[in-house]
Amino acid sequence: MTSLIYLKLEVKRAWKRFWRLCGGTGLLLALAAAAALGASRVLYADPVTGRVAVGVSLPEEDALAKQVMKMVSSLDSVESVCDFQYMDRESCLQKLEAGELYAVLDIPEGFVEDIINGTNTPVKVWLTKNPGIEGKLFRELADGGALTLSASQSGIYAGNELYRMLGLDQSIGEMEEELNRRYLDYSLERGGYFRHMKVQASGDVTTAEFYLVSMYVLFLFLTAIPVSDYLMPVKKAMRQKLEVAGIGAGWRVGARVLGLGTLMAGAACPVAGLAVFYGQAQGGMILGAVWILSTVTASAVAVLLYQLAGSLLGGVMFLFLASTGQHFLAGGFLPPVFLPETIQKIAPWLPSGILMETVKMAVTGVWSWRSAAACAGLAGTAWLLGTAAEVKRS
Amino acid sequence: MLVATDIYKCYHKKEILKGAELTAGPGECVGIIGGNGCGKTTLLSILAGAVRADRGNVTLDGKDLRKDTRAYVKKVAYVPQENPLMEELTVKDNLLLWYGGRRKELERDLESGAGAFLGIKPMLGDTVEKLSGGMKKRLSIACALANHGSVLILDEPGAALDMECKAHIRRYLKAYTGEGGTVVLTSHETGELSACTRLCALKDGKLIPVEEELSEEALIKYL
Repeated sequence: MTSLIYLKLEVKRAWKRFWRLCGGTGLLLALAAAAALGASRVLYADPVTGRVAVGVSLPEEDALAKQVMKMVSSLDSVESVCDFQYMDRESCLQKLEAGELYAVLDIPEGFVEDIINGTNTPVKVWLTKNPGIEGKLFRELADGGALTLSASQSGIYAGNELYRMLGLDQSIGEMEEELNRRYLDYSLERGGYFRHMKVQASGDVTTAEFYLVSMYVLFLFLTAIPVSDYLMPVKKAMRQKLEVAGIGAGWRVGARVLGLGTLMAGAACPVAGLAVFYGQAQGGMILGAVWILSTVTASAVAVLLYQLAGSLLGGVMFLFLASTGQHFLAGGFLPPVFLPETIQKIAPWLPSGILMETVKMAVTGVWSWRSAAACAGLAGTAWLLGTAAEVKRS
Repeated sequence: MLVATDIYKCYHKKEILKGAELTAGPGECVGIIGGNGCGKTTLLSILAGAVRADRGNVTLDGKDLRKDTRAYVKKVAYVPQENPLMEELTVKDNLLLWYGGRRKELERDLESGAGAFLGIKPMLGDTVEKLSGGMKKRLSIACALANHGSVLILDEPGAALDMECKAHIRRYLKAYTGEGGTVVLTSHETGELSACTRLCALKDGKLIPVEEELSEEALIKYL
């Protein structure tokens, strides 16, 4: 009975610090966010956010050229990067010189007819002397487009030649039509792969979800700092009395894990609610299980660190350095694919790595026994080591 | 009857207790004196069952501490020098812990038992961290006596307390021994030791009886 009352009182002790935990964690997260923002500004100070403005000079009254340019400008790869401005050749060149345009496309007279009859009059592409990244990007796009065009033209010309050689001149039109259809069928089919298959550094969640998961895990660890005094090892006199009453080291450490765990769960409750409200997490049993697993495990790790540190200041330093340091190594700040290979290998076994995999289950809505077992294993190991530290202290 | 025989204890390869022996009967208050670090707290912890002796035997009314620890510790109330209290919680919460949830028993003691004598009832709803040192010590004693032990062991109960608190605790100890209880305490203060029926000095790891009159000058030679 005394053991259960002790458990209840430890939880009560923890909850006496609820508002302090909320305030302190808010402050720490604000500091962490400010640091992250500052770091991202240093890393990406000159972002490529401008679009490529391209001047297009079309021959007057050339309806076919206008049609082709309309098709080209509506292509995904072009539309996402370029803004086409139609004007006469002189205006284009003046604007290019003035730096208002990154490139100019000078479409010659009879451009489309020449493609059809095989003459292939080239399009002139004007770039500035020092084109900058936007100009270079446009040149690559234009080269890519020209290569695609030449590849498809080659197929049609080869077909034409073959049909003429075989004396099937009257079927050339039919062959070109069929070739176009098949070519488009194949190219669109394959293009589909590239359009729909996303390969992301953040794995099976989006970048935004990845960072939400990462921040949640860091949030759990940081919540322990404002309640450091609660995590201090039990004082000698109390420890002796509890021992005499039959409350051993394992129970004492377990009670503390439970106390801090419930406190973390309380603080994480609004976070989980907001995530569900904004559609970033799936509700239901998986969310509940992840909520309990993540808070209890983070609590066990925090209790272990304070048990090892043995002092208030040591505990705060230890927890802060261990949580942020191993969070970085576990790929919490930069996805593991960007980290050195050796670190990539250990990342999944670090507390943050294990917790992030667990929390991802709530985001994807897919339960993984492996992730859950790893999380429970981490909590159990932390509790055992914490108990060993408590026994050694006794 | 509390009997400790041939107690040995070693800390970090240093022998603190070397065959200490103590006997304390019902109605007796035994005071233990000694210099700082001589092993007084260690000896009391062993008598309370909180620390294991390397060698030796402790019995209470024939019950062997080593063989029947649970039965032994149920009869001993131990008040360490540092108050074993949960500071953020109320006095009532702390008492309930050591009473093992036995509310009726607690209420009875607060009305007419140790809790009543120690003046605990008026502060039941107060948070421990807001109490004075004297009140905390009284609460610690009340918590220790939750098991209604027949032996009360106190480690420097008057340390850092004001005169009134010390007098209050002294009065309680007299009442406790008057009811047939046994008290073993350590102290450096003659005022506190005046409540004792017998004094022992812990020197070189052994307890020796103090025969002199109670005065600071007389006691200094035992340190």
